[in-house]
Amino acid sequence: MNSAVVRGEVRLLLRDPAVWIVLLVLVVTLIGAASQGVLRQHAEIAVLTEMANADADRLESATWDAIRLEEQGGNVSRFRDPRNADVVGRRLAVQHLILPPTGLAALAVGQSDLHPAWHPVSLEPRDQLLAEGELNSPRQLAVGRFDVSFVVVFVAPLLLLGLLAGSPARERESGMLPLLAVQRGQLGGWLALRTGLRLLIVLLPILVVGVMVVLLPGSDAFEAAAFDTLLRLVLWAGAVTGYLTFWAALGAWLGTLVRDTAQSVLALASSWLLLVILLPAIANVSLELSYPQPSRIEYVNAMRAATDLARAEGSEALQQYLEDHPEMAGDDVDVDDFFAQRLLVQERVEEALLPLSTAFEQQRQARARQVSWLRWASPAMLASAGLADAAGTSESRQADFLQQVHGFHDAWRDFFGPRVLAGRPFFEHDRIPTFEYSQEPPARLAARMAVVMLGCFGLSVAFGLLALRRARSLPKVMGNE
Amino acid sequence: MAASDAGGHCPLELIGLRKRFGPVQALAGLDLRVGAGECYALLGPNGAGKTTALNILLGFLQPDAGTARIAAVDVQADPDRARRNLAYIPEQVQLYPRLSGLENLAYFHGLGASEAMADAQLRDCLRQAGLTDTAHDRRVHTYSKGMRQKVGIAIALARRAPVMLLDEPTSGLDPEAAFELNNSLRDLAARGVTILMATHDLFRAREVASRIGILVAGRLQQEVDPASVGGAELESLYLAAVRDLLGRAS
Repeated sequence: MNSAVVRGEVRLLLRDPAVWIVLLVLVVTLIGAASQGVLRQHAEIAVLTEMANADADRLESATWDAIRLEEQGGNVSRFRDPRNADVVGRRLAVQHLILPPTGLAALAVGQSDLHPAWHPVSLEPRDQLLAEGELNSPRQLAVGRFDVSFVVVFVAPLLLLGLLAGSPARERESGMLPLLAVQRGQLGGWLALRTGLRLLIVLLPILVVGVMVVLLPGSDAFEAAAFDTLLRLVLWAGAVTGYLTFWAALGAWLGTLVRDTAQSVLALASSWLLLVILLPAIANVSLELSYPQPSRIEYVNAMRAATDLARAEGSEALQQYLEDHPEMAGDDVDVDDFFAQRLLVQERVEEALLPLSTAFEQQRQARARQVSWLRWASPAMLASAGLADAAGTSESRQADFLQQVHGFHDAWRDFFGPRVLAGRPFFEHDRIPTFEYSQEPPARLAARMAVVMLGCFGLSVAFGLLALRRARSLPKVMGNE
Repeated sequence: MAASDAGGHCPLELIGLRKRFGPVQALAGLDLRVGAGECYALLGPNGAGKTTALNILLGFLQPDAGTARIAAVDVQADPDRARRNLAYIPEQVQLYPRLSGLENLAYFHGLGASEAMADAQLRDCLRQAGLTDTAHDRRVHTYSKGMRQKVGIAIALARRAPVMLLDEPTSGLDPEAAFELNNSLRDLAARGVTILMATHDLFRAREVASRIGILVAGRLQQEVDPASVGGAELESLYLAAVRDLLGRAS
């Protein structure tokens, strides 16, 4: 086989109106999805920047107010006093911990429409601080999840299969295959060439749009490290290539099994329906049956009961709690003080809810484990998870961020708790803990993505070999028809 | 008598070929040898086994018994090597309609060649096959059946194989195109190419072939030297062979 065949194949593709229709549909959907992702990312960055600025301004203002009140005196309610540790820790110094979007965040919404990119940390209980972040973006929820990942996982395979539908069924149908077989000998290389060219028609625009979105000015406002962005881009491109190569190999194999274009279209459309729609839906149902979402109502009811009990027990029980937790304060705690009492009730409630929280967390982890296994049910699920991971909007990055949020929340309470219970004026505004998100090690991300790529490329090789084997015997199959 | 090489092999050999499709015995012990530079016409009614014999030679079918050899290569043992010595013109030459005749020739030739042929050489092949220069760059969907057939012949010529198989090559061709095809085949035979042509067309077979075999019910009933018989006589011989067999069968 020589360059004349490649030129011929390219000419055939350029002169085929179906190819131009596929390209038009692909480019239009990609541009739509990418613009939506970029707009969403810009809006998120604007919100996050505003939030960070508001936090800094509020704390600065509280610091100056505390100094001014101390120096100049004046009446201010205890509930608004910037020298009150409880007021500062619960309201004035509230910090919105931010999960910075990666350079690829515009490419995949992933889990970011379910989990907020920020969590406010204060002296409020953990559950409340998580609940506050849930209604973060009604606009985003209204628009849905039409992003570049959606185009890659759902639309691109369909378009690729559309291009592969007539290969080699059309040649077989028209009676061209015997001449091809005599000229070529074995049809494996020929089939690989034409499948590869069709794959490129779908793959290249996606990769180009992916790179353009990442390079777009303003998409990296949080100055994600250039290395991190580059690594994520390479991994994302690898996952996209692996996933679409799988579809190309599957399409080529199915194409060698059928007799005509009608059968080919039916087989390819069925495979898409099965792998992209049905199997993920079945996996979702099985997940809900095995590990139903923990009941939030049950949790809220338990919290109310524990709060009522802690309040009813009164100061005596709170004193007992302090004796059990001497790290919380010195001997001079006034348990009748409103702020001390509120903090101690809160501590007791959280302690009472610990078994339930632990059970919920175990349930969540079990679900996560099951999801991790279930993604192997279909390459579409595998790719979808991989693309979100590369874009930094995966469940695992969210979980990692949440862990950092919890750690910081503990540090916050360790700092403010004793100061609230002590009840002394608070002037340590410059010593309040600050949060810095620590990016997960690149090797861990690369390892997860390697699994995704190995899965996709492994399946591609398997179906590719089946297609080549079948293509070798095509002339014999024709002779017996 | 077919011309053979030093090892006693003819470029094209069928020895005791048998093939059955369910209750139908398509080939019942076909023996045939075609020498270098010989053009052999295999005549026979529909279902006589002509296409089955060609499919076995092309490596598309496995015979139940017997051997098929192309240039001394056993087709069943090494079909790819056997096909490299073979050019084939099917009854209906199907080409890519969105490519021109020249582009189709470059494509099909390129499939089996490690290096691309120069444009001028490709055009030469098209001219030898009888396709006029003005048609070379026209897209094939504007071609008549005869023009497509000529591109098919050009593909076979460009392959420069020692053996050529043709399945009903004049079917659907106008008289002028069929005449040109016959001239091309004679030229090829004169250059030493071995040609096996399966056909219904007694008149064209007699014009171009150096030997004619009448195949009925998978068996070679009779061999005729076309130089020694007229057209009417050949027709009588053919009909007699067919009727005789049908009579015996009934």
